[in-house]
Amino acid sequence: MSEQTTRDLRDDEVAPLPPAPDRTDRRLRWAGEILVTIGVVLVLFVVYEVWVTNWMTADRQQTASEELARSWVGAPTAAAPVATAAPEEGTPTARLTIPSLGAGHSWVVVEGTSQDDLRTGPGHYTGSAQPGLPGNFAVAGHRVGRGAPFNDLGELESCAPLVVETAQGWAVYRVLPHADEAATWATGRGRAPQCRGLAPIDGVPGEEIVTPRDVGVIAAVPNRPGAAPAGSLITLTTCHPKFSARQRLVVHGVLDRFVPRVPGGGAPAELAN
Amino acid sequence: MYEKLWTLLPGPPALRVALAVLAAAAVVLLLMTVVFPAVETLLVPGDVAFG
Repeated sequence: MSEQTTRDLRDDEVAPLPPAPDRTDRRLRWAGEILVTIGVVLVLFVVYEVWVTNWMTADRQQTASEELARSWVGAPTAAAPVATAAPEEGTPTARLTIPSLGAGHSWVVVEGTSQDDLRTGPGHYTGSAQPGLPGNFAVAGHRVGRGAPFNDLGELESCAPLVVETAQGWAVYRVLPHADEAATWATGRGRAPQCRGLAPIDGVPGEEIVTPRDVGVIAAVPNRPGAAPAGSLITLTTCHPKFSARQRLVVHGVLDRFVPRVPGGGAPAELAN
Repeated sequence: MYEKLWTLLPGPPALRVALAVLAAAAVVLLLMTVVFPAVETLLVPGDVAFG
């Protein structure tokens, strides 16, 4: 370094200004700042998708839950599920509880599966069966963001209870045997106490991964479009794998029993934990 | 760009910092409540549902 740059300045001296950036430097700085800004906006978008939408959905769920409770006041009771008029799209229709996914895993299901419907929570496929009735009660839900109601759907084991509460009572479904369990069901997992009375249904595994075009999974008899329903089934669908819409994770269950909402009666034991 | 924005802010440094934080919060709020929901509608619809 030269003597001029290292020596102390005299009191009457002024430090020399750094050279002004030329045009190329300024352009590079602008480009860098714009790229950093774009990066920050993208990070914020991820934050919005994964977390902020959860808060928005929680708020919508609260409103839907209050609306559902109001709609049940004074509703007629029945010993068995009965068909009601098809609700309008976006209307809260039932409450889905999956006890094995943890306490509080309970969601108000709205009618319809549009983007806007699913911002509130799981959505009932319009035209599929109503809870507890013959046919397939099919429900879609997000796996990431918007509350991620079906985030852990892949962890459901066979026989896990899926409880759908309506004004009339509780339809208790159980996840069907998985494909790899069906062959040894009678001598294997089928002997577990929670699986009593449950048997595999041909062509309807408890869990399957399909492409988005395989709409047959929500047919009245899953994977057999056009077949007449012989029982009451439930189908839950979500995207797969996480953070991707490339495939669909599908869980099928069958109605175990219906618990009517009667004075003095209580909720199913599955909801006690 | 940001240097120019900074010079547009009036007052002493403490006030400038406060105004900058408020402006940044306003931009984030605008993104979260208006821009991102609008962008979402342009993405592939029905990303978890069939049909």
